[in-house]
Parts: sequence; structure tokens; C-alpha cells
Amino acid sequence: MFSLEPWFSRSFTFDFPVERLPIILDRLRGAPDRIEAKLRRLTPAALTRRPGTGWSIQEHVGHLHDLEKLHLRRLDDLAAGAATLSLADLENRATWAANHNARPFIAVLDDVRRSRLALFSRLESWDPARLADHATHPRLQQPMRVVDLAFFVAEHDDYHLARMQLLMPAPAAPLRNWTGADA
Amino acid sequence: MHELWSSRTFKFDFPVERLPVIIDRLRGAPDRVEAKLRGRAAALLTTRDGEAWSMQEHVGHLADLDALHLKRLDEIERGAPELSGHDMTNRATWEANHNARPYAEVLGRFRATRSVLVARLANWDPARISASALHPRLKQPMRVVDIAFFAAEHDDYYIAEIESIRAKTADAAPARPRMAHWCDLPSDAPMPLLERRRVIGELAMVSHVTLHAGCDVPVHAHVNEQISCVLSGRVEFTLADERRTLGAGEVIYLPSRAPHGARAIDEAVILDIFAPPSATTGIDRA
Repeated sequence: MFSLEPWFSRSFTFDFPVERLPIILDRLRGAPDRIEAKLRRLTPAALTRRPGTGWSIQEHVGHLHDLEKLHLRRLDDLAAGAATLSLADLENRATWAANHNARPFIAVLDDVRRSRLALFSRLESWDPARLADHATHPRLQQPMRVVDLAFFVAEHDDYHLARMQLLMPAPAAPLRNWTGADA
Repeated sequence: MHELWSSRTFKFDFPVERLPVIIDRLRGAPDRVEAKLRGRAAALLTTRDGEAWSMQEHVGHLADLDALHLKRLDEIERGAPELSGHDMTNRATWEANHNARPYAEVLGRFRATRSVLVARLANWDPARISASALHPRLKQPMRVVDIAFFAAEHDDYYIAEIESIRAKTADAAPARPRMAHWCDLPSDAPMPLLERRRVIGELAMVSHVTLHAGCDVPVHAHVNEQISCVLSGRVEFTLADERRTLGAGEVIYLPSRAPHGARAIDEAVILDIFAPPSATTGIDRA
């Protein structure tokens, strides 16, 4: 497997047509389903194991929930006609403080589903007359429209899903002679 | 209305280190499709809006196209200057008649083709990561990471198409519970000394099988997982490297693609559970 490009090294070109929004929205809608399908067979120990000082798989999931507040706030910024979007906490203190490992995985995933639904609904009902409105992303120093924000979130999802994949334990050998007693 | 796929332009200028992220997008596409269409009635899945594909045909198309993505990876691997062109009329999908098969089989095929594509990309030789060939329609050189990105974008486009059809039919009735006595269901005899009655669902299938004494199902394998519950009689199962005799009340789990055969020592009744379902299993081809 190839090494993963760090998120903060990513550069973005926001020049695609706003008509791509429904496609990007569906990527956002599908992220919790991808997480669930990827992780549903993992044990709590595998989900919460930290690789050194990095986040566990479950903490990466929780991080996606933590970030939804920022995404919604940035949509508020755009709606309010702000010149600059709200700044992210680059140290991700909310995720470190949340202690996502202490809760059942299903509760963490439920949080992601709920907050994603709120984001999705907000994006889906965005006023078409304001699709071209933009504000500057404070770290990238680039103007972003609502479609660019949606794309940014979808790419951020993908990045953390790939990080989860890299933390996945090797698949167990197939159960050759399974009987009910071993289930 | 979103932009047409054929009018999309692409910039293939991102670093190859993005490949793991793109691979995970590709890996997740069948999961997105499954979650989106879970519980939809077969009639809705296969309904065409005029001449446009049904939701199920869109899923079939994604699997059809994986063959092209794999072919293009072959071409890059062997140093071909140009990639294979795509038949823009999508004849393969029209001719496949994906609507005629159970939905779970169509989705299962997409899972299978996608799993091959993901494995191929994940195991790509890092020394050949920069090799490229010309895309015949876009007239742009594409590396392996660009082919993966192109496939992921193609997934997104068609999954959004599925969503657009799903949203239009969201108020229609979902699949409803059905019930029957086994005796009232039609039976068939796919091989000598074997009678079978089946309930074929969207995600799983149950076969009520009577094996008459001496019935010998040759060793076979299939992509479906199988769980065989022996209700009565005794059956000798032949596995990859051993034989096990099971009697009434015993159960055996057979993973996907696990070779297995069965011989009835005396008359036996088995409940075979398959996931995903399919119109044919190993015994139909025995």
C-alpha cells in the first residue's frame, strides 16, 4: 500500500460547476453507510485501539461528527455574507476531549448519522440563487462557494475513511469448520 | 439536472499519494448502493423511466464498467500507449438485461468486480505508479491514480442518478412481508434424488432441500455464503480437506467460495441459507 498524503498538505482547485452539487451531496450522504459497512465486524478492542499517539478507528469516526459543527458554522458564514469562513481548530481539541473510545461504537456512529443528516438537509435546501456566494477559507486562502464547502467535506470524509482502512486489523482466516458452539 | 458524464472535464494533476483515499472511495461504492436501495421492492428497482435505465440497471452498469477499468490497468501495466476506448452506447449494459436477475445477484456481482478492482489497485507496483497511457476520448495521459479517480467519479455520477430515481419513487410501497407453508411453494429437482423449495429474498435465500438416500452433490463452490441446517437424517459433507457427518440439529457454515459437497447417508432434510441469493447455485450446475 502507498503512503497517504497528509490532509494539511492537500491543495484544492475550486473551479467545477455548481451543477455538480447533487453528486457531491450523495457522497456526503453515503459516508455513514461506508463507515458502518467497513467497521461493523470489528470488535470494540479493534475499534478503540490507538496506534501509538494517533487516534483509534472509533476516534476517526467521532472526529467526523465533531467537524460537522464547523461545516454548519461555515454555511452560516456564507449565508450571512461573511468575507471569511470560521477557522478550524487545527489541534482538533474537540476530538481529543470527546473521549470517543469510552462510548459504544454504535453511539458514535449514530452521532455521525445525526449530524450528517443536519448538514445534508442544510445543503439540500440551499437557496439556488445563492450558489455563487463565496467566502475565503482562512487556511487555504481561497474563496469557497457552497459546492466547494460540500466538496471539501466529502474529501475530508474520504481522507478519514482511508485512515480508518489503514488501521483495520488483517482479516481473520475463514472459519473452516464452524459450529454453533464456537459462534 | 446535473452535468452530463460525457461533458465532464478532468485535471489529472494530483499526487499519487492520494491513491489510498481514492481506493477507499471505490471500496465504499457498493456499500452506498446497498444502503440506498435496501428494502426497495423488486418492481421499483427494475422500473425504467421511458428509455432510461432502472436503478438495478445502473448498479449492473457499474459492475460492467469495472471490466473496462481493469482492462485499462492491464494496458498501463504492459506499457500500451493508449487505453481501450469505451463503447459510449453502453451496449454491454443494455444487452446484459440486469433487470431479469434478482437484485441481490446484481449487487453481489458489483461487489465481486469491485473487490477485484480494489485489490488490483491496492497491490499496484509502486515502481510503476507514474506509468501512463492516453485516454482515447479525453486525449489526456492517465496514470493508475487517475484511472482510479475516473472510476470513483463515474461511480459518484451513477450513484447520484440512482438517487435521483430513488427520490422520485420514495413514496411508493416498499417490499411487503409474505408468508407460505413450504408445501405450498413450487418445488424443483435440479439434480437426481434431490427436491428443493425456495424463498428468494432481496438479500438472502432459503432452500428447503430433501436429499434422498444416496443423493451425492459433487464438490462445488460459489460466491454466496451458505449455512446448512440439518433438520433430519444424516449428511456427509466433503470440505476442502476433510469429511464431516452432520445429523439433525447440527449446522455448518460455509464461507464464500469454500469448496463443499454433500452425500445423504439416509434421507435427509436440510435448510440451506444463502446470502446473497441467486437463481442458480452449485447444484444447478452440477
